[in-house]
Formats: sequence, C-alpha cells, structure tokens
Amino acid sequence: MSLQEKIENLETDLHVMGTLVLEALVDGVRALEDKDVNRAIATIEKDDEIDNAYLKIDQDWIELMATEQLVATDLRLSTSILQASLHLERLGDLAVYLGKTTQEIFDSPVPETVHSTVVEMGDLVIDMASSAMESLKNRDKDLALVTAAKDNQVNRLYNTMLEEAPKIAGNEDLFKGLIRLVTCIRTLERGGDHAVDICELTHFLVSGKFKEF
Amino acid sequence: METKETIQVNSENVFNVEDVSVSYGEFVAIKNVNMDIAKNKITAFIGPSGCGKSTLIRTFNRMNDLILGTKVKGTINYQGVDLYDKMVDPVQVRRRIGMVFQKPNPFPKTIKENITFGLKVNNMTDNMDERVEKALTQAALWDEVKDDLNKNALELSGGQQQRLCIARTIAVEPDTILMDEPCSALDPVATKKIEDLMQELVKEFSILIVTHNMQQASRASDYCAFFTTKTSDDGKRRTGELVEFNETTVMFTNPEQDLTEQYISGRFG
Repeated sequence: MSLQEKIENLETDLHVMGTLVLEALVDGVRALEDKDVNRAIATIEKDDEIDNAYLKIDQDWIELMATEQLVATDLRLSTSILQASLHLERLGDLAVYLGKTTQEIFDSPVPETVHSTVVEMGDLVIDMASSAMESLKNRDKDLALVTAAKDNQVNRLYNTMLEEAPKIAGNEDLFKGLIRLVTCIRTLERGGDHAVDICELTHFLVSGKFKEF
Repeated sequence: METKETIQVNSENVFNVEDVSVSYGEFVAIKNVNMDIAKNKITAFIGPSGCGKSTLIRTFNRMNDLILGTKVKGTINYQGVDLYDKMVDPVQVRRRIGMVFQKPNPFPKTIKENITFGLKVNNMTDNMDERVEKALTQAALWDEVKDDLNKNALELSGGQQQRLCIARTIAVEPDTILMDEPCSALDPVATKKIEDLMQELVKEFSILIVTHNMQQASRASDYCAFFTTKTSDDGKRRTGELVEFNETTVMFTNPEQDLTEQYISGRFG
C-alpha cells in the first residue's frame, strides 16, 4: 500500500468512527429525553464498536509512524486524525454516560427545567460534533470557527443550571434525579470542549498553526 | 583575510549571499541565490540531483576556483569580507572555511600525519601533539585511535576515516565547516556518530551540509534550504534555483512553497 493510501484509509476510518459516535450521541440524548431504557442500553452497547474503531486508528497510526517518515501536510493530517479519534472516543463515553443516566432516572421524577436543559445541551453537542467532523473532512477553517463559537451556548446553559440547581435541591422527591442530571450537564459541557478541540485540529491541519478557539 | 583579527565579525551571520549565480562555461548551474547563513548553526542544503546545491557550497570556500571555466557572479560575503575580492587569498579562505567530502579521503599516511599535514602547511607547528589530540578529541575519534596514531589511516573503518577527515579539517582552526554529503558512504551507526558530532561541533563552528538524505536534514539541521532544477522554455537548459529557505522545523511541518511540500513528501524528485 502506498503512503497516500495508508493515510486515506486512516482518514476514512476516522470518519466511520465519527458516524458511529454521532449515532451514539443521538441515541443517548433521545433515550434521556424520552426516558427510553431500551434505547439507553443500545447506546451503551455501541461503545465497544467505537472503542474498537479507536484502537484500530491508534494501531494503524503507530505502524504509519514506524514505517514512514511523514512531513508537512501528511504529518499534520495523520497527527490530527490521531488526536481527533481520541476526542471522538471521549464523546462516545459521553453517550454511554447519557445512557447510564437514563437507566438510573427513568422511573424517578426529575426537575423539568433541568431535564429539558440537558436535552438542549445534548442537541447542541451533537450539532457541534457533527459540524466539527465536517470541517475536518472538508478542510473548512471557517466552519471550524463558527462551530467552536457555539460552545458559548453550551457554557451558558451549563452556568444557568449551576444557578438553578440549588433552588431545587431542597425538594427530596426530585433530589436523586437532580444529582444525576447535574453530573450529566458537567459531562455535556466537556463534550462541547471536545468538539471545539476537533475544530482546532481543522485549523491546524489547514494553516499549520495552533490556535486556541 | 590575512589574520582573524582583521576580520570584521558579524555576530549573526557568517555568510551573506547576494544574487549569486555559478556557471561552468556556457552552462549556468545555479542562479540568483540570496540567503544569509547563520553563525553557529547547522544549515542543510537539500534538493534533487543537479539542482546546484554542491556547486553552491563549493563557492563558499572557493573550491570551484580549481575547476577551469567556473564563473561566480554576485557577492558572497564571509563575516563582512567579499570572498571573491582580488586581495583575498584562496588558501587562507580554505583554512578558515574547511570542507569534508562525500567519500572519506584520508591521505595514505598515518593517522597523526593526516592531522599534522594541514598544520604544517599553515605554519601551525607549535604544540603539534596537543593540536593532534585536540582535533581528534573534537572529532570524537581520540579514544578509538590514541594508541594507534602511527597506524595507516586507510586501515580505519569508513566512519572512522570520515571522522578523521573532520579532525583534519578542524585541526587548522577554521570557523566554518562545509560538508558535502558526509554520510552518504556510511552505515546508519557511523552516520549517527557524525550527526551527534555535528551537534557538538556547532557550538564552536558554523556548519553547512549538503545532503540527499531528507531525514538527515530534518534531524540534524537548524535551517534548511531547498533547491530545485528549472528547465528553460526551449527545454535545453536546466538551472538550479533556491525555492525555499526556512527554519528546519517549519520546513518539515508547514513549508511555505508547494514545490517544497512535494519534494519533502516524496512526490517528485
């Protein structure tokens, strides 16, 4: 296999993994929204496939480094692929967390505002992750920048909920659901950061320069 | 160029190359090169065969004077002095700017005589033994040969012979070392020794190296110049040109020119 083919295969594997992760995130957010335990289980089970995709990219990247002397665009692309795969793996873990939360709260009452905010944040993170991967695929620096800016909305919702949570904390019926959802909110906030990091990789790949979005 | 003291030292650059073209008779080997070579740094010249990189490096210590019909246009300033000024003695130039060649070429004499030969030519005959030991030590060869100084140099391994040639070059106390593919005849172990040695030598000397080995350029140099060959419109003449001159890390991660990217990625040349 030529060097070009090896790198192309690595990039294809990354985008296949990206699709798996996005599917898992959609399943995780919808399961939580609908308190759908079956969908939550399906989300959790998908993670093995995601982990295997990650391990394959990791292994192929090591082999590429061992056998080829990569420079310039080839070097930046392969490094970006490896880093992006790690962010995707973490986003997959986020989907698992949403699934597990669903399993824990499906038969409990939950504070409605927090519940709907978790879902709103989840949809934002799905949108960001999807656009971030698209920007990487199309070498689209502008899309990366626009996508990263959406993290402000995620952070705003996160901060709103931190203020909201103590007001409900006194309600014993809702307490269990509240705790679970608040940790979810924290995890989703990190999910937005992973999408931003993928956007930064797009910028690095295209321009050769590191830039913190 | 008579003595070191008379030289006006530019602390940043050793060479200022201005619009230099080199031709052999009618044939223009390389043209319009402009670059400043930094002091106490390793600068690598890379590019496909025939791009003029060896021709250029040979103008830096006037080795091309020895080839009949060679013409150098433009200016090469060495520490503020025009190397091709009529007053400049080429023998002095070559003492100040030493050269190591592709194939190790020790004299068919003893190890010690290989070092003392240049010292005698340059009237540096005081403390000969100390000078021999210092040069061999600097070239990372002393420990291997100190008990065999009267052995014929041709009995050494290729890598040792090349380090002896480096010792011979630095014995006459130059301030710049030109290396024309110094490792192309050596195995990877001997190559690594020369590369490690370069990292030591650069503390004291400025080093220019021509190499066909891109990985060597990326591993060993601070700055890198990429040359290529342009064919004339009628397709009859091929002339070398400088395409990009950059910090080595930039060159190998984010080159400015597409041509550089293609060459270092192995897509042409």
